Amino acid sequence: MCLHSLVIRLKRFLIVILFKCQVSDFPHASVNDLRNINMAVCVSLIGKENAPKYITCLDYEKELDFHYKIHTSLDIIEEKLNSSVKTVNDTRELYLGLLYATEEHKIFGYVTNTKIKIVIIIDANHSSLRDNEIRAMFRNLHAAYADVVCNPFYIPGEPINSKKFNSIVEGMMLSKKI
Amino acid sequence: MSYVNKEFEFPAELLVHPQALIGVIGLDTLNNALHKATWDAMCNHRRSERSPVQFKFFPPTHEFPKPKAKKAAYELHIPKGILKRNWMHKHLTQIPAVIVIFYDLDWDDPDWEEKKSECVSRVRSIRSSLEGRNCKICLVLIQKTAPLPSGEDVLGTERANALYQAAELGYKALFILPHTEHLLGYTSNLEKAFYDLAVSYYQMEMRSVKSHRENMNKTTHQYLYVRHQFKLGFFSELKQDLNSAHAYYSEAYSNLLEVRLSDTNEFEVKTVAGYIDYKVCRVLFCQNKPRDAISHFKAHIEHYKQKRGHAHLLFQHFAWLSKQYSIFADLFDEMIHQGLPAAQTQHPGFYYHQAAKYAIQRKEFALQLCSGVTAYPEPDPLVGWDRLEYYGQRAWRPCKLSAEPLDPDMERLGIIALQFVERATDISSLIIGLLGSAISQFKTYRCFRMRRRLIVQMGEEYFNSREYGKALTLVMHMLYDYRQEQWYLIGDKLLKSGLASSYLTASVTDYIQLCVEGIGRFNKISEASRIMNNLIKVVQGQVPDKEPDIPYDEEAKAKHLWLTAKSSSPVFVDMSLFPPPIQLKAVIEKHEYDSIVIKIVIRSILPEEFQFDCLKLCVTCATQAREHVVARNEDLLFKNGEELKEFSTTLTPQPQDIGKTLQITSVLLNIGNLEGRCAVLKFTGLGTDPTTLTPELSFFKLHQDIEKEFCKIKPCLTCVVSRRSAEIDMVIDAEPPAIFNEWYPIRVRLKSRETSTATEAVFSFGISQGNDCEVEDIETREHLSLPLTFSFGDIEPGATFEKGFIMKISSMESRTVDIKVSYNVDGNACLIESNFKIDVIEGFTTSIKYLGLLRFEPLDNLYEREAFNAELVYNAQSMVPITIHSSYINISPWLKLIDDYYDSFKGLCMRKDEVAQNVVSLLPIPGIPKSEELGEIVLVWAREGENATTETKIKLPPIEINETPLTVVMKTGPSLGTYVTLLPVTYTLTNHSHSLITLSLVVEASPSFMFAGHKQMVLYLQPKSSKDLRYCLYPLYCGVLALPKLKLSQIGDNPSLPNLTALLDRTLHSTMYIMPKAKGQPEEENLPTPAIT
Repeated sequence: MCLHSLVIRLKRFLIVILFKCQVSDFPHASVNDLRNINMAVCVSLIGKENAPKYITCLDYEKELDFHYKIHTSLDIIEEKLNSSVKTVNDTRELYLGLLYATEEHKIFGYVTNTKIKIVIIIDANHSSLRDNEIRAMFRNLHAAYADVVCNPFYIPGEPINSKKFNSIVEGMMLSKKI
Repeated sequence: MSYVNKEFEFPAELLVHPQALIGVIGLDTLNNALHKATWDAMCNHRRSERSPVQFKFFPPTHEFPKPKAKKAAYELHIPKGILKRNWMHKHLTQIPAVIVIFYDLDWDDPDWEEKKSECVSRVRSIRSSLEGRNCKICLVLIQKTAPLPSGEDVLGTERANALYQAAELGYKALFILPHTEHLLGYTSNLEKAFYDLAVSYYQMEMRSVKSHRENMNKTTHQYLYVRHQFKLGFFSELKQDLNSAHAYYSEAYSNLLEVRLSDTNEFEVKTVAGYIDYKVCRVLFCQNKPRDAISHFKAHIEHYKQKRGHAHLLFQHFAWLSKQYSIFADLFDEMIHQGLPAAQTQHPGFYYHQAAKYAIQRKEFALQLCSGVTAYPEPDPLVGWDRLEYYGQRAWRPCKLSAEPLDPDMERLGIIALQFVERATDISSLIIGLLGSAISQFKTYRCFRMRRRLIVQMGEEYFNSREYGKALTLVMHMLYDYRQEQWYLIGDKLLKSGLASSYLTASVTDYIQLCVEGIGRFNKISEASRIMNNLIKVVQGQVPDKEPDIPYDEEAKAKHLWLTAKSSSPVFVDMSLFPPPIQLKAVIEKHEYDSIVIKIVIRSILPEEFQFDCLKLCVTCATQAREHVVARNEDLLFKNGEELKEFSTTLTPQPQDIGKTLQITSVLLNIGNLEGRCAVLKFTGLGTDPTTLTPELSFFKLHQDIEKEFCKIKPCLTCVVSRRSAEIDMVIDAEPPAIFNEWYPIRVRLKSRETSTATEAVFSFGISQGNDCEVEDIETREHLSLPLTFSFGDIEPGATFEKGFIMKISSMESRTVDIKVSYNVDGNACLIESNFKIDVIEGFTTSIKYLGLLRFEPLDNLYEREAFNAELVYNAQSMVPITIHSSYINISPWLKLIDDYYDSFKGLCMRKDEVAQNVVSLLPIPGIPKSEELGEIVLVWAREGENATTETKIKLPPIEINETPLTVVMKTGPSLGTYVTLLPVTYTLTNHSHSLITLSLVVEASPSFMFAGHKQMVLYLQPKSSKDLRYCLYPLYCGVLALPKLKLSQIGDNPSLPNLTALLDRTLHSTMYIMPKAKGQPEEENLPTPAIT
């Protein structure tokens, strides 16, 4: 059994490598993007079937609240996806922009071509916020996710548990107030 | 309504869209039908295109509010508040912009003078009651006669002049309302005029408000700046001038922002700010500027959010905030109903939600601040709170200015009173109401997850307000959705609160369901085993231990409830919805006609040892559901930790299941056996874990021992119950295709190879398509009706049976014949089934032609007294050989057979493309009717080798039969001529008509004969007579010789005579065979009949 599963994994590894070679539209993080952008209070990755794959937030006491916020933002993402399919032909625009804003937070969304949703929550008081900075965060996250999926030991659809991914996300989080 | 809620309520007059007030006097709607119709036309059926006015009925002696005395010195006047409580109400309902006096008066009224003076006095009294106001007064005369065109009605013009002069009214203030059928048109015109007057009235009012401005200064009259701008805005709104209304309201708002806030006026300013903001937003919405309205509202909130007011009344600040949001949401919603488009990200739901959030904060602060208050202070500081002169002032210090120092005792008492009242307020229901509004909005704008979240919040609020039953219902509804999308952090939270709610309400059903889920969900062993122990207690009829996080004082009550709690029916827990603590797979291992073997594998991960009660298998087969107990009690003891158990059971299928699908619908695991406290875990048998979204990838996971074993088992839930194979041979002897109309034979032979006797054998025969066949038994020729079944009874081993049918198919479409034999052997049903298709083909074609008697030439028509030949041609078409058993002819009595019918077809066997012919000579009898059926030839046939024959009738085709007035018959002495021997020939000419026929006769010479007789003559044939012409011929040669040719031609004109040449050609031989003279033989007459060609 052990040998068998190893063989399967090796096969998958090869397939993934092939896949990675073929996919060209996949966003590679440029050097510029990698500068330290830290403004998020919560970063989440949601699977195709709207099940959470990765959620981390700054303030663990409010974790439940963040979960609710991300979950409800899926309504708007779904609505945007449904309407944009009909009107916009440009399927390569993955960034959905501001989903909604509350008094405390702004919530931004991004959807990959495989319907993996990335949602970032920004503190509403963070005024020095530029659209391209948000985009860069999303691109970095997308690239990091692609790396996670390319790992042959990762099972698609399972929650993400990767040190590398964690460190990239942590870099984006608003530094904790001391 | 309690004090606190009322205090935050927006006044009703603020919320309406103001319309100019028109006062109506002098309409007696109760007694006068005319007046009532007028009133109805004005007030009812108001549509948007009509003037924006509202009518109000005043009695003639109504006392209007008196205007206040003018202030002598404005500089000294210090305002006591910002907005007066009664001001809007006064202008909306009490002071009309226009007062309209209705009066019944015709120009030609007999009592004109009297009525005129009454009318004038009425106007005067109204005017005096409105002393000091600028209200417009109009007089409407209700007239019964239709008006004349202007200028022609001299009397009318004169009296009108007299009237308005006497009443001191303007010329334009007198109106005539004639009561004709166009009432609605007149009233709507009147309305327009009133509206114009109202606009000019409000214009005047605004001017008078503006006139105060020069006397005001910013230091003392700050409030007046707000108040006056508000008034201007309100008047602009009354005259529907939204642009200036917006400008005035905005100015009022910004003036208010300049007011310095202190403890004294903070509440008043905030209240008024809310009102003015509402007006600004409302006007902006009405001007179709929703974005501006929203941003104004947001700025308003942003500005006042920090102005929290007195620390002990913090809950009031949040109540205020909550009210701002909810009233804005109401306004937004109202505007959407009027056609404003809203979006998923911008709709009233967000504002209701925010209102609910602030209400929750209000509740929290109220709980903090008011818990210490136990008694209501004396004297009541809130006395008269609903009769205050200004909006937003405190009842214990009305009209106090911010500059004055506060009375600390009074202040303290007032705060205590407010706190006391707040404590008694049911904020939860307020929160729930707001959440409810938000939920319906979010549902409208397709935010289903947001809606779910709000429902959860609502549930929490119900829990907090100790309505656990409602909280439980909401949680149970929402849990599934979150579980399905795998938001377990939220789901677990709901699970816990569901457990708490169901514990507190002692709801056995929900508690058991949630416990089972909880055992699987909570990873912490202590938590899982606590829940497991509670579950065990419940099913054993005991009281479960308390759930964490429940109010201390509710515990005893809950325990008491649990003592008697029962569920009405066993609790079904659907294990496919959540990651279960027990997984189960069912496998149909083997299925045969006499047994079905099913294996059930259970994998359990239980925190405590547990013994289940019963394991049951539910199957359906042939729409019949069955239950089967697999294991009981001791076999179902599961240890704590992970364990895998296997069970096997055998089902025996019943005879009616054969050929049907057997499905395992569910596998049930019973817990407990106490009535009202037992649960049934329901498994699908697939063993899938709903947490894995991609089961196909589950093999990439690393599984440990038991899990791996369980994973490897492949569930199988359906099978088809097979049939025991039949051991009786059936041979069907039939040779398709069938011939159209034949008796087609089918023979079925059965031979049993069974080792024991087959019982209840039933043979059935049916035709699935085209049921229009006759079927008979091949032996007895007994008619049978379809579908037919025979019972054979028992069939001994080795026995044979034969059964035959003949079938007549009378249309060309193909049929399918089904033949079945069913029987039982050793208790097992067996079936032999066969069906085959029969195509139908045409057997043969026939035709009948009429030919001449002598020369067989085709005839177009026939003649009476002239014989003819009928020829039947038979064309075989089918591959299957057909035997013609016989044929015969039926003819009409108007025809005569010349010879007997000779059946040349008899015994013929014909194959495809073979042809047979038969000729029969017939003679039509004179007088045959035109439409007479001539008769038919009948063929009796069957396929080769079969005896069941079919008769096919072939009709003689109809043909025209003509009358003949003249016949010519030739007779020779001997039938055959002999060389140089005398041959006598007689031509008999007969006239059948009733007139004389005159003919000229010529006999042409022939080189082969010498002859004696008339060569040329004129012949007179009397009616109904005949004449013989005798000739002696003397043949000069041997062989077939041309006879001397007889020619007839008509003399005179007789139209009834036919073509004589054709007649002679038909009836006379043209040649004759002459035999050589035999040597030494005497001349004999009885020689063979002549061969005539």
